[in-house]
Amino acid sequence: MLPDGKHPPCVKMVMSLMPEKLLEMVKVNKHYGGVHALKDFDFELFEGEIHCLVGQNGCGKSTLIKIISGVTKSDEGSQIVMYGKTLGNIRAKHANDAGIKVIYQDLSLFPNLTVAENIAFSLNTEKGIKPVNWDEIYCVAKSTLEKMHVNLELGREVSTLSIADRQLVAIARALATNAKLIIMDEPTSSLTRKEVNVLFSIIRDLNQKGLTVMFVSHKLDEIIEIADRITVMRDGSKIGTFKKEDLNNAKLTEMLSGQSVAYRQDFSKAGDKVILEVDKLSNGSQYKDVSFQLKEGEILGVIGLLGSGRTEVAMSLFGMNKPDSGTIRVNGKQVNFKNNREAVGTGIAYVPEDRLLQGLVIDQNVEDNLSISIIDRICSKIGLVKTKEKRQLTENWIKKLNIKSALPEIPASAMSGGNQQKIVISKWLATEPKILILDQPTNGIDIAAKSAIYDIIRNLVKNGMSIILISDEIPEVYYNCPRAILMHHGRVVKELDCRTLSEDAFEQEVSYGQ
Amino acid sequence: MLFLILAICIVLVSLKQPNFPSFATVQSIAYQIPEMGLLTAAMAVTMLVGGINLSVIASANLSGIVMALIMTKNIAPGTDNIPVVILAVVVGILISVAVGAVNGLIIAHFKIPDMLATLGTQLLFNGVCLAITRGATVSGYPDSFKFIGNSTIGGIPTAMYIFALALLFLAILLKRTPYGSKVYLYGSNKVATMFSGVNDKALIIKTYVISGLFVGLAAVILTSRFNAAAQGYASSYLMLTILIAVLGGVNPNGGYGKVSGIILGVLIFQVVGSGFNILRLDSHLTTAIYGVILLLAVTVRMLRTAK
Amino acid sequence: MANKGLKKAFFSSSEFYLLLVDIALVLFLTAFTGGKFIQFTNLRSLVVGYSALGIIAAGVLVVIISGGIDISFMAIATIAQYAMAQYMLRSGGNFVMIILIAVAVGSFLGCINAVLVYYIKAPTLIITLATMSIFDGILLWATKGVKLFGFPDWFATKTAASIVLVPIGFLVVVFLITWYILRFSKMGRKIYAIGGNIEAARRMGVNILKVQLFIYAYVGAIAAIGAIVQCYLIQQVALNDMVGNEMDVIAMVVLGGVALSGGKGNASGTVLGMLLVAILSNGLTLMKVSSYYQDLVIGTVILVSFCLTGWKMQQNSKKASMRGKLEDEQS
Repeated sequence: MLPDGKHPPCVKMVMSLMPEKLLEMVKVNKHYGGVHALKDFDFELFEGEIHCLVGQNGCGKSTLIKIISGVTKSDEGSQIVMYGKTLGNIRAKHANDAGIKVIYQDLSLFPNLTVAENIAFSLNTEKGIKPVNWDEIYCVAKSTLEKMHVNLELGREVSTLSIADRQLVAIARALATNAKLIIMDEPTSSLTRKEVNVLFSIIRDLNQKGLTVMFVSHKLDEIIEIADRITVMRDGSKIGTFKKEDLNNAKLTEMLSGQSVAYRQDFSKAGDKVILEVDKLSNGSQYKDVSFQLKEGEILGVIGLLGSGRTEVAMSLFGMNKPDSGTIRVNGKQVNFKNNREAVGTGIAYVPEDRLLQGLVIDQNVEDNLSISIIDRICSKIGLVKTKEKRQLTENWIKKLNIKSALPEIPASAMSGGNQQKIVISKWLATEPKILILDQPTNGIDIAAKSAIYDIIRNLVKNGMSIILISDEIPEVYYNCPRAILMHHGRVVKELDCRTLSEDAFEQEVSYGQ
Repeated sequence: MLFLILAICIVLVSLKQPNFPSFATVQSIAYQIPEMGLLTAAMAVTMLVGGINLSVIASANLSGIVMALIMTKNIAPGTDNIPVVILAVVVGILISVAVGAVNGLIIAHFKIPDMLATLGTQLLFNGVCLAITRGATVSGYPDSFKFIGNSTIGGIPTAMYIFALALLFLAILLKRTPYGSKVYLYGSNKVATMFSGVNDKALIIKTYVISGLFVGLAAVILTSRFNAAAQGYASSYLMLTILIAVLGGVNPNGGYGKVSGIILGVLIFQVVGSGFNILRLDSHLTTAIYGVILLLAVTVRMLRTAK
Repeated sequence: MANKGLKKAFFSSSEFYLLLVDIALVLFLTAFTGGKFIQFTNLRSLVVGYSALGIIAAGVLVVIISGGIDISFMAIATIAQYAMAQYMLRSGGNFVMIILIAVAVGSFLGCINAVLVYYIKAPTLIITLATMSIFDGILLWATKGVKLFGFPDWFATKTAASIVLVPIGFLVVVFLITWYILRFSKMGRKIYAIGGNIEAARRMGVNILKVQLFIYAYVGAIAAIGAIVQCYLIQQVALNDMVGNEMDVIAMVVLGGVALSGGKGNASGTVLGMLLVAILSNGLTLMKVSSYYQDLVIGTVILVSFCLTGWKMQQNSKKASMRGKLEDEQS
């Protein structure tokens, strides 16, 4: 129900008819304190479309969603029109009543409750003291899942479900309350290809039945696959809205970053010695029969479109995810790590995917973060830390990696994303590894820092280090790695030679070569 | 910041009793600081890693009882036997350390939340105390033992030297050893610290063992001062140790807190306590007021970190 | 459809094992003591000793499900007890009034807890530790620790049966109400939701403050009712009587199978946990185990059961992640 009591007209998705404008935003601004998160944002959303919002981390996507769903208010003077009615601002309750539902990246489900109760949870938040009607809950849940053609055990606790299934529960929950618009925030970050296919087919099906979907993502390939129209954002502004046909990966990357990365291939000659050999490594259904070799002095890319399994393999190499079967050999010797300390001792280092949660302790200072992995090594005989050496170490790395504006005593939270990542890399370089594994190292980092990190990596291999670069970004892998392995749904599909393939061919292989 | 509060408190109390800031007062306060300070340090160090230790008092009591039994059973009343006393002290400290190890193991290996684990050990060791003493009080110690808690060396209570040494040790541990760095990082962000190759299990066990060490030292001083040991002594101290730790700037969620803060916290507490004494406040009322102070302390902390 | 799931869940749940343990204990004790255990006099002392604590456990269960903890409940119980006892002594009073007064006092104090917990972002343990000191301190200071007795005639325990039936009656009613609220009221489901994921609950429009007010008022009110029963059984109010037994109550709830982080637990589990603690303590007494050893035994049982639960939870989480992914593979 709209604020004025009318019901919005229902429009079937027929291209020849003029679709109803669900939402229009004109010159919307939002300031968070001194930060201008949204700048003169113009935006249109039509009923029945699948619209994708693309942008790097920090571009204002989340702010936009919060404003649309009424969680946050936009600044004065912003004009928002919903179903033809002008509002100064959207209130959360109105948005909810009008059928606007957001599915956050963390899904916001209740892990201790059943599938049925999660889906039908809005029944619990109704007013009145009528007792809980479990039959009604199961009914609503069942019928919603049937609408989606999905089969899930209703009585199962959500904590026991896979992430893909949890996502379906989250969608069902949104649907169960007469959703007209579902906004999904980064829905595919942890899904395998197969799971993404299921998700997309459900979305298309619901869309056919009249549901409007807004998709927020930074994954260019999936956006091009599913979206009708795409809005590109950067630094709080709208770069443009395009139809799917008018875009490709390269154009998107350029728009997102604001500059084209001057990618160039600069492959140093790798040695012949095999420093790491993985043979038929398997772990449950995380990954199966993974085999590859890493030569000394090379950068090996691991790319896998929308695929999980890569991080799990990396963590197994790092001793944090014990595999069921298969072997890992470092310098010819088989290793069986019980924990990551043993991996570090063997010369393996891992820069994790989630910089803020897994890579750094952001509340503590730069020096402590940088030295934590080798702190035991810079002690005197009686066990005291050699503070001078620790300081030297920090300052050396700051200089070496050119971590601007970093001082040993300031908290890591005060640094930019790029500099934070350099600190994480320094931390691991200080352990003098032979093998460095980087997992999505330039995620959410600005262009200049990206280039700097590529330079760092290339210098490292010139000096004999071996690197595994896990990444989603096709150009990043293509231009940095002479060789790359392609993973899909937990398996190594093929090995790609970036020297001989053209970039387009490489892109083809990655996107479709399954 | 804390200095300021301390100064204000001293001024306020002196208003009511002008001869408050005198050597005699300082000396009498100095008798009580070591035990409270050591117990608070025991609590604080577990809070730094984001945990808590609810068994400090029960463990102290247990140590005290065992020490008392060793001494009373082997030293005739009125006589003295220094080697036995030393043995008793060592055993007492070892017991607290062992309790700490048990706590650490339960938390690290069975992944039981610290609150539950230390609640459980509190109950268990209270039970052990009761079982050993059958409710009786063990008292009557030789002079050499009483010396520890009741004498002065150079005008300063002997116990203060122990306290100072212990806290110096803790300060060095936290500031200048790898263990210290790991503690703060772990308390701030467990996940990243584990990813960085830090052995979290070892860290937790070490922390609770250190906590146990401080409990043991406190137990020696407490038992010596009270000249008696029994189950249930000092049970009201538990909340006070948490209060003082929070007052002294320790973040109950982990990652923040310094030895200097602990010292200042204890001082403030003692001054305030003396103030209550001077005002002849009923002890129950002071308990209530301490509760209010604890609430204020956590509120202030919350407001300051929210900035 | 719902029932099939329930049955399956029951047999693999910890409650099943708990029930087995309880039954085993009863059988063992009956045999060991030559039948003394199930004699009326013993059962009566069981009820007298533990019914009040059991009632209070029902309230504490609710707090723990919500992901918090409240250790001020005994202090609240004592204050409520004092208030209603004073009322009885001064104005004769009647059944309905004493319940109303006690519940009012208990709820009010509980609301104080709720407000503090909601607005101060500190661990609930520390906040309720503080309020416990405040409540206890003020009560003892204001009343100077005086004992109350000499209650009106209608309050006295008339028959041998009433000493058993009245507490059991209260116990049953309190647990039924708690069970109903947890399973069939929207408020109860919101409590589970908050215990499972408080942020998600907030996003789903749950009024967190309202729920907290309910939770802490509830535990306060239930504690107050337990206090009434306690007073009835011993016909006096001794202000230091109840404080100090917090651990027993918490043990009942935790042994009954809750997750301390919240979101799990139910009334039947707590009943079984209560029986376990009560029967164990009572049994130890019967077997002439000195009361000095009882805390020790119970403490050990609790710690061992914690370790078992912790170990089981680790196994389960490994199994769950495997299961979720295996099914993925097969679909």
